[in-house]
Parts: sequence; C-alpha cells; structure tokens
Amino acid sequence: MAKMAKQQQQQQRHRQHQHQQKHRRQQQQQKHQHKKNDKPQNFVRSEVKDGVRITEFKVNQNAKANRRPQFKGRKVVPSNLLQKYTKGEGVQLKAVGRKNSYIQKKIKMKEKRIKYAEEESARAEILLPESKGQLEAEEGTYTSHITQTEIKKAVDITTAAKSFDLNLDQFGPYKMQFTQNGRHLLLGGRKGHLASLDWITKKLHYEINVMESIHDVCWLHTELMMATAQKQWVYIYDNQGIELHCLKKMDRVLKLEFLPYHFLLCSGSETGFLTWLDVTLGKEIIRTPTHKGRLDVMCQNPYNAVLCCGHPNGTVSMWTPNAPEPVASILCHPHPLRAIDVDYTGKYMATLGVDRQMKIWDARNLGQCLQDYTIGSGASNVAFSHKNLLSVAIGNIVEVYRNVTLGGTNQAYMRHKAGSMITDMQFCPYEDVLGISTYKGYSSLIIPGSGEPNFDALEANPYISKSGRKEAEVKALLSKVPADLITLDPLSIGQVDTPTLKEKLEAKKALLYVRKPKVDFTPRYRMKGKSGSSQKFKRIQKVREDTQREYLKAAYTQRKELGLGKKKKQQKETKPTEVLDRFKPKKKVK
Amino acid sequence: MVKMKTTSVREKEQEDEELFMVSGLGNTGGEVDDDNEVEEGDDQQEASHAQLLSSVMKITKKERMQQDVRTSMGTSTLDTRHLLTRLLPTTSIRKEKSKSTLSVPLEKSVARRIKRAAGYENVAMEVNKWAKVVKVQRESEQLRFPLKQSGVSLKTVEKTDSVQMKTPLEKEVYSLLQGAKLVEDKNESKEEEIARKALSLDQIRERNRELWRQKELKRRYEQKARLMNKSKSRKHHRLLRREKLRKQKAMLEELQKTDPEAALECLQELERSRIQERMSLRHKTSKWAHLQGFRANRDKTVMAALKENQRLYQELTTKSAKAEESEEDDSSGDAKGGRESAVQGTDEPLNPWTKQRQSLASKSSPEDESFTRFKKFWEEVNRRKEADLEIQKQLEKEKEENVKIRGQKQEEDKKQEKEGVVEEENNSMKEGGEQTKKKVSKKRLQKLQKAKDQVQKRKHKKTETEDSGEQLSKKSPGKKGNKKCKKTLGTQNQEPVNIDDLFDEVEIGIKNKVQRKLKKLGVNSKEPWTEVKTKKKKKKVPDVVAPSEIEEFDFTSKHNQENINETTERAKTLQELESLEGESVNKLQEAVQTIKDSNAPSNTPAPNHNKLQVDPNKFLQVESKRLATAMPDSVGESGEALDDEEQEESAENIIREAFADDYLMEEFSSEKAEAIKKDQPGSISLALPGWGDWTGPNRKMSNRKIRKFRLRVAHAPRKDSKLGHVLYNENADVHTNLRKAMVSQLPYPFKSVKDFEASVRAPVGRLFVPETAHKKLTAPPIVTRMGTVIQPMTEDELLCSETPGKGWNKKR
Repeated sequence: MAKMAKQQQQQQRHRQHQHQQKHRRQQQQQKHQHKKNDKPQNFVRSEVKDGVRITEFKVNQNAKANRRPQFKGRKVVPSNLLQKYTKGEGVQLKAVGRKNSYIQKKIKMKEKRIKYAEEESARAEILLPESKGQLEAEEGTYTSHITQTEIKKAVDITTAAKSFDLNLDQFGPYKMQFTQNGRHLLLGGRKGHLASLDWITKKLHYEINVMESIHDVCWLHTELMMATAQKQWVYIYDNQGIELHCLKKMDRVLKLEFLPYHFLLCSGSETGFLTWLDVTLGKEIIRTPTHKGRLDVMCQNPYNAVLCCGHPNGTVSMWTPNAPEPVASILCHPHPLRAIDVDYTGKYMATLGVDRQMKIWDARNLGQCLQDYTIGSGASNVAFSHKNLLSVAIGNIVEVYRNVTLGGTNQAYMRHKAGSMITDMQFCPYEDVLGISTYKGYSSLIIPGSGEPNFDALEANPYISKSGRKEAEVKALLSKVPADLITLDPLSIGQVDTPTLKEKLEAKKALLYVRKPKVDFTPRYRMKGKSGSSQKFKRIQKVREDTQREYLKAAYTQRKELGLGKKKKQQKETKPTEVLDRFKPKKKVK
Repeated sequence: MVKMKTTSVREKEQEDEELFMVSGLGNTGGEVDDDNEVEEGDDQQEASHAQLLSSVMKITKKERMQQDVRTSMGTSTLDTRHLLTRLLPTTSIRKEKSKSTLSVPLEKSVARRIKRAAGYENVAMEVNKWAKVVKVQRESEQLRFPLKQSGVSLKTVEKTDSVQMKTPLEKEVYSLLQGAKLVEDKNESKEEEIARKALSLDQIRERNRELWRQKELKRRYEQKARLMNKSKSRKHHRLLRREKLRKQKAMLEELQKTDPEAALECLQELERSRIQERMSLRHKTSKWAHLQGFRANRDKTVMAALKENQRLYQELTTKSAKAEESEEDDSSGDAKGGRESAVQGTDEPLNPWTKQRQSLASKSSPEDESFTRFKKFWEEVNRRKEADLEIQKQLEKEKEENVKIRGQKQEEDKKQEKEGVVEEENNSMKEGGEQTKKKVSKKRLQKLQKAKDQVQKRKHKKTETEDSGEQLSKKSPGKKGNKKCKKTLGTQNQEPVNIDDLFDEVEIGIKNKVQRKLKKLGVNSKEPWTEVKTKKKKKKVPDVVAPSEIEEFDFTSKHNQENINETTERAKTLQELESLEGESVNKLQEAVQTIKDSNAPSNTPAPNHNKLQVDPNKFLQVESKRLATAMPDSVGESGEALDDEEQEESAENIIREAFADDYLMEEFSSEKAEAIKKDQPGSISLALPGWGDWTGPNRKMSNRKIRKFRLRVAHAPRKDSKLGHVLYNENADVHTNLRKAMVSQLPYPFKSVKDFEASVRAPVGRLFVPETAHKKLTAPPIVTRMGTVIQPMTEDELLCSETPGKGWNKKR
C-alpha cells in the first residue's frame, strides 16, 4: 500500500540520520577552532587569585539595546512543498458535535497535529540532497548517438565499472531480475543456467545448471532466496544454489512476480492459471483460471499490488487474490499484447501490442489512454525506471525515452544495440543502470538520470549489512500486509463500507416473505403437577406463540415503514366543511 | 442529692438530643412531628405511672430509698416530671397537657417528594462544581496519572543540610581548615531570622481569634437560614415573595441597561409563563382545585388555598395595564410601528396620537416606568421577529421567482430599486426640513394601508430611519425640528436620556441580529445596516450562492450524497437496534436497515445504461505519434524500406489485415454485456399465489399478475457505463474480505461519511511521517506511572488554576 509514500519518508529518515552525523562533525570542528582563537575581543584583563583565574570582560552597554531578535522561529516551509505533502481537507467542525464541545476541541487538536506532521514531512525534504543527472548533447547532435563506450570513457571508474557485458552464449536466452535494493542480480538461462551475483562487486554467489528449462526467475524478499519457474514446477533456491522448495502448486509457469509487502509469490502459467502463494506460510491463497490462454505477459502494479496480465485478445486484466474473476479488464489493443509494465508510482501503465503500437494508460483512472505511439517494428519488452524513463526493446535494440507519459518527444533519449535479441530487461533500482538480458548473455548499460538518487535505508538499502538485513527481514514480516487488503484503491480501507444495491434488494426480499422462526424451548421442571405433559405442552406453546407473534409484528411494522405492505388509497384532502356550505349548490350526479 | 444530680444529667441529654434533631434533620419536619405525638402519649402514660409509684412510695420510705439507688444506675424509667409533681402545683402540668392541636403532618408522599427535591438540588450542586474540571480533563490531549505530580525541585546550596562530621578524622580536618579560616560557618541572615520568627504568640492568638470569629459568623448565619426555612408564617412568605419579585424587577431593569438581550430573554420567560398558564389553565381547572372545591365548605384552610390559587391564576394570566396596552397596539395592526415613528419623527403638538401618548405617559405612575420600557422592548422584539420573517419570506419568494422567470425578477428588481431610491430621497428630505417630514409622514400613512408584508418591511426601515434621525438630532442640537422631537420624547417617557440609551441598545441589538442573518446568507459587508436599508442589495443575496447552502450540497466527498444520507439513517437504526431485543428481531432489523439505505438511491433516477456499445474508436481516438525508432538487425531489410511514408502506411495496413481482429472487440462487448446481466439484481414482485387465481403444486402464477405487482427498482449506475472498452467488476474489487476490514458503522461523533473519512485520512505510522510527528500523533491519551497509587480527585483540584493537560504540552 502506498509504497512510494513509504519510500520517500524512509529516505528522508535515512538522510536525517546522516545529517545529524554531519552536524556533529561540524560541531567538533567548531570546538577545535575555538581553541585556536585564544583571546576574545572584549577581554580586559585576567589574573590568578588564590589559584583561581579571574577574567574580566568588557560589557558593551549598547549591545543589548541594539540587539535585534536574531532567532525568528523556524524557517517557513515553502508552500509548494507543503502542497506536496498535504493530506487534504480536514473534518468540518460544524458537522461534528456541539459547538465548543470537547469532541470538537479534540478534533481540532488532531487536525493541528496532522498539520504539524505535514509540515515536518515537508521539512524533511531538505534531507534529500541528491538530484538526478542527465545526458545533454551538443548542438546538432543527439543524446541517442552517444554510445556506452563514450560514456564509459567520460565517467569515473566506479560508474564505469557498472557498465559491463557477460558473454553467456551457451544456455541462452536469459531472464534476469534485480533485487529490490538493486544490489544483486539473478540470471536464468532457458537451458538451465542459473546464477546470482552481486553485480556491483561482480562477486558470484553461485552458478548451477538446474538441468531443466528455466522460464522465469524472481527474487523473494531478500537476496537469500529466489524462485525459478522451471519446466514443470516452481523451485526456490537459496543464495548458495541449494534447492529449498519445490512448489508443486505452481506448474508450468511462464511468469513469476513477487509482492514484497504481502510476501506473495504470484505465477502465471501456460495453462492460463494464476496462483498466489504466501511464502511466509507456504500456503496457496488462491488459484484461478483466467480462461485467456498463455500468461506470459504479466506485471505487478507496485502501488496497489494488483497483477496486470496481458492477453492474446488484446485486453489487460487486473487481478487480486480475493476474487476468482478479474477486477477490471481493459481492451487496450485490438491485437495480442506483447509486453506490459506499470511505473513505480502506479500512475502509468505502458502496453505494447502486436500492432506496433505502444500505449500509455492512466493506471488509476481506468480506461483513459494518455499517449499512443507507433513503433517502427514489433517491440518485445517495455520497462519503466524509477524516474519514469521508459525503455523499449525492439529486436536487438533497446531504446530509452524521456517524458513518454506527457508525450514530450518522439526522439529516443538513448539507444543501444545488443549482440542478439533482447529477452528481458529491467532498470536497476537506485542506480543509473539498465540491465538487459539477451539470447547470448547479459549487459548492463549506463542510463544517466534513470534511477532514484536518494535511497531510503529503511526501505531498500544497497549498502545494507548482514545484521541490518536480518533486522529488516523481521520488520518486514511484522508489517506484512494481509492479502485481503489488495484492491485497486489501496486507500479504500479508510472508507466506510456501505451496502450495495444488490444487498439492499436482497434484504428487501427477505422481508417480503418472512417465515416465523422456530422456537426450541424446553421448560424447566416444576413441582405440583405443573410439569405434566399437557401443562408442559401448554407452556411451550405459549412461549412459542409469544416469540413468533412478536417477530411477525416487528416484521409487519417494518414492512409498512418501507412501503412494502398494502398501499392505502390516499384520500383527497377536502376542505373543512363550514356551516354555510350547506347552502352551496350541490354537485350534479351524472 | 444523688437523685437530683442524675435527673439534671438526664435533662441535659434530652436537650442535646433535641438539638441534634433540629440541626440534623431540617427537612423531615413531618416525621419529627409524628415522633412528638408519640412521645406525648408516652408522657401521659408515664405521668400516671409516676403517680402510681408515688402513691406506693408514700406507704414505705425504705423502698423509696432503694429506688433512688436504682435510678442512679439508670435502670429505672423515672422521669423529671415525677419530681416536678412534688415541687410544682398540679396546674402547671395540666397546662402542658392542654396544648393547641398540632399542625397536620405532611402526607408521606409529599414529604418524600420535598425531601427528594431538596436532595436533588444538593447533589446537583455538589456534582456541578466538577463540571469545569471534567471538561478540561476530557479536552486534554494527554492525562498523566497521578494528576498531582510532585514538582521536581533542585536542592540549592543554601538548602542543603550542613555537613555532619561523623568520623574523628573528619572533625580533625574540619578543625584544621577552620583554623586556617578557609571554611566559614554560614551565618543566618537577618531576613532568614525574621522569616523564622515571623509568627509570634500574639500573632497566633490574633489569627485564632479571627478564625473563631469567622466560624461564629458562619454558625449564626446558618442558624438564621435554618430558622428562615422553618418559618411557616404566611405573612413572612408573602413578604418574601414580594421581595423576590422586587428583586427580579430590579434585576430586569439593570439587565435591560447592561444586557438588553438577557433582559429580553427574561421578559420572554415571563411571557412564556403567562402563555403557558393561559393555555393550560393550570390554576383554574386543575384536578386538585376541583377536588378542593368539595372540601372548601368544611375547611377554611382549603378555602384560603383555593383563593390563593385563584389569585395566582389571575396574576399569571392578566398582564399589567401597560403590557395589555402594548398588546392592544399589536392587535390594532402592524401600523403601530408606523404610528409611533410618526409620533417621534414629526413634531405636531396637535397630533391626536401624540396627545394620546402624552396623556398615557402622564398617567403612568413612576412604578410603571419599567413596564413601559418593557413594553418598548416587546415592541422591538415583535418588530424584529416580523422583520426577520419578512426577510425570510422575501428570500423564499425570490428564490421561487428566480426559478420561474428571471426576466420578471429583474424588472421587479428595478422597480424595487426605484422604490428604494425614492425612500432614500425621502430620508434625505426629512433630514433637510420639517415640511418635507410632514409629507413623508403622510406618505407613510398612505403606505401603511398597503399590503401587509410590504408595510412591515418598510416599518422596519422606518425604525432605522428614526434611529438615524435621533442620532442626527444628538449631533445637531441647533435644529428646530429635532429639538421638538426630543421634547416629545421627553414628555412621552419622562426620561429622555434613558430612552435614547434604550433605543441605542435596541438598535445595536437589531444590528447584531441583522448582521448575523446576513452573515448566514453569505453577504460580507462592513456595514450590513446600510445594506438592509436598500432593497436592491437584499435582492442580490439569493443570486450569490451562499456558503451555507454550499455546505448543504457538498459533493466533494468520495461517496455521493446518497451515501451520506444513508449513514445518518444507519446511525439511527443502530440505536433502534440497541433498544430492541432478541436475535430474530435483530436479523430482521438488519434487513430493514439495508433497505432503508436503499431508499435514498431509489429516489434518484438512474441514467440509461442499458444500451452499451463498445466503441473501438473511443480508445483509438488518441492521436498516435510515431517514435523515431531504430530498426533491429533481424528486420533490417524491411526497416530500410519503411523510410517512405506511403509505403509505411501500406505496411501498417498489411499488418492490420494480417491480424484482422475485429472479432476481438465483439468478443469483448459480448463479455461485458454478459457481466452486466449477471451483476443486475433480480426483480421483486409482491404477487401472492392463490390470490385471484388457483394455486397448488406445479402451478405457476400468471406473468401478468407477477408483472402487476412488480416493484420498480432503480439500478445503480455502473462505473464503467461510459467506457466501452473497460469492464469493471466492483464486487471483485471491493470484495467481501476487504469489506470485513472496513468500517461499516459510522463511529460516534461523526454524522457524515465524509467527515469520518477525513478524520482517518492521514497516516500516523513511523514509515509515513517523521519520527517527531509520529510520536505526537500516537501519544497515548492516558499515561500512568508505574508503582504509584492513583488517588481519586479531591476538592483541591477545583482550586487548581493550571489545567492538567497543559503542563505536558509545554514540556514538549
């Protein structure tokens, strides 16, 4: 739920910590400086008396009078920032409680606190010092003509080291995925090659051949566990390549997705089945057929954890693990879909069709097409970056576009030609890197301005330590969101549930044909012949009749209230007769 | 001797007891009386018994002595009266016997009622004094228990105890240091000494004396109060009542000077009591009076009570002479205000009305002055009410007019503008000179004969103009007419200055009221007074959409208005639910509840959504841009060919043809239609089998009959009804699992869904807001310190000036 908001806040917190440390350092420096300046200016004399140094200072008489208030309170937060963090309109006080009642006062105070929280959030923005970079071309040239080798030459060593190629021409075509913090990379070749590595240090965790075809790979919540969709089942491996589980509930899977806040592993199978599996319990939440053929086009919406599937009939269907039918389905292209992706904020959805069209949709306002692009030839993959750059893979070419959601340009921002057909790609989180996997290996490309520059250490920390990871895992488990809460609008949990029309009608129907309730009453034993069979029967009868009568009475009155009963003919309101009315001419009866 | 002593002791005890009775139980008079009676009976018995004893004692002296001993031990029931028989002549005892009859004790139920009423008052007072404290505590953000926290104090050097030398080494070191005069004993300063010896013996005595005096005064006061309460004298009570009335009158007068609003309220209260009396005739036709009527022949007291009752009735129902007069004025027509204005505005000494007024004023005794003022107030009140009503009526009318014909309205506006202009002109003329004023008054008189509502309105204005005229007169005393005007006022009410004040107050009051009204209507102006004067501006009011109206029809909520209505209803039904019992009934109620909710949307006509068509062009309408993409190697040849645009299009067409997927759209539309059909609720028919036709197994009701009794149900509009290419399944989205987690009943202080949702709109978690804000947002409302006893509040809390919640806030 509201992942981005969470991320931002956590980034701020991380920065705050850093900021404090910096501040401390500065203070220490100041101390040192103070020691060097041994004599203050307003110093008069100093002498030692009885082993105590007494120092006299000049007192500036005018100082007090001239002193202006130096500290005028906290810095005013700019209004645009406040607007960014605003939580919307508050409660209307007039509508709640009596005037000046304690309830009103309490609500007022709460609103004040919320205002304070908004302001604090806006203030924390100062702790996000980094800004994204970008490529700028000279006049007459294009940024898309700048090659990776040129960039590599220009940038520093550490950044240059992030651009590399892996030549893996034996077990191709490859599937790939980065961990949530962008530190680790998982590669899975169709012919069984499975490898995970820390791609920044280039340290290989393990490399195995599972001796089966691999269709998709997916990290679980940490870099210690990963899932692979193999020929028949889905398997889970640890970071040493040891097989931990074989999930026979997911068979012939083509696509895997992991919902990190719900700890759900989702899979779309060849037979058109969608499966959600809770990895903390190993329990299948739901398994539902889509009736729409192979499910090889699938992605998750990070904003609301809804699965979006692209189908051969041109529709995108959205699924939650709470219903056996899709929440929504949108006819996006009148042709089969090739690829689909939703951006990190959950605002935009990009779809690629066989009809050589790429469309950008409003993911929240369903069915609103924002942009429509025509691509030269059939594209196979699409991916959003943190900063909403969009990369499109066309055959062996990958192109990155800026401002696609707003329809800014039709020129590519960057372009790269890989050695062979591109099968999978992903922007690395918190890095300006795009990873692409092809038939013959993997290559990472430097795309300036693609990644989020400020990371939140409590959300996803690329430099996390072992103990930090452990702690984060526990915390994440504790704050696991139940699968029940997955819905298109994640904020609907804060709304009031009102009955639907259907329910209302059903209730009405129930009232129409009221059946008197069965009363099961066993009278207690009484002395003096009152528990004889006839007496007992009478007693039971009496109780039964009473309760039933009461029930029916209630039903009838309620039915009357609702106007369900017999309608009485309303008499026309006649004027009150007066005494002299009798002398009026009578109406003729025809 | 011994015997005497004992008796004296007994007497004392008895006295004490009596005292206790008096002081302790003031309100149990009836019961005490009862006891006295019983005691008297006992006394008689005892007396006879004593006589018998004495006669026996005469026989032998020895026995008597023995008995004396016994009495000293307190076992005998011998009384002082026994001794008195010896000492006093018998007549005195007889006197005691022949007392007048005691007053009839109160009936048990009545006594109890009185006791209860008194008790209630006491308890209410006792409880009410806590109200403020309770409010403060309820309002406070956080309560820390125990409430009285011992203040943290720093021990300064002066306050620390002097160092106690324990070991001999220490002493030695100290003595050494003292010898070197490095350590000095701290001498007590003079102030400290004075402070220490502040209270001398005399002072203490003085204080004690003062305390005693206070106590004594209090005791006396209490005693007096007690006696007052006990008094049964009718005269006394009458006096009391009169005093009370006088006080009330005085208070009213004062109020009317200081706070006219409150005075008006008082007057209204009086009037209300009169109305009530007139309506209910409580003192005339009560059952009690009816019953007492039978007893009145025999019992004088009853007669008196009835008379008193009658008097009360008359007192309540009849107005004072002046008040009646005002009533007459009211009844004589709405012209009254106008007449008065004429009196004040013009200065015709021969005007019959002014004459009449003068005579009336001269007639009125000084006592009744206050009443005349009251009357003024009443007039003002009535006038205000009328004016308000008028304004409201006018507004409503205008609304209707707005709806009906705009053009007509404008015309009217123009007319009224003209009128307003004329009036303003009149005003100016009036200020200018006398003659014009006369004209104006004539004009007014003519106008008074017009339709009621208009007249009233103008009258309202006239009062204003008068006021302004008065103010002017104050400013420019040189003007003839104004002087005279003042004179008339003087003759009328003997206290012209007071009256002026009075009018000023009234004016202010009216101003305030009008201002409030206008504020409600959303007109913000610096001087609403002027705006009311001119009709034109008032007319404009309904044109501008008033904020209050906006509030009423607020559609900004996520849910629509229907839902908001529903929730209020639901809250109601919840209460009903609680009041009723039984599971089965509950189930029914739930059903009813949901149906009631349904009533709101069923009223609104649903838009037509039956004809749903998937319009493929709708989502293809977005202009497609061409991205300048490079051609991949595998399709290199065809890519080169694509440079030419015409060829491009043809290629596109080729592809489109290759994937001629029109059937996809049809498929989708049919899918959607199916889903809609599935989602629609079934119909309800009220038809009963067996009524109007035969029924039995394998016999269906005729379709005609079913159709005849079918209930028409409005279908809720689908969210995707306007989007042909979207199929939204609300049941799947807002699924039952989620709905279980959602709030289904509106929590207590909220009356609308919107407000409740607004109250939970902001996240409070650590992950969403900064730490400081998180702590502030999630601070517990009550904090208790571990290991401390939380005492109940004492009355000292009432004296506490600082609120308990505030201290904590300051710290943070």
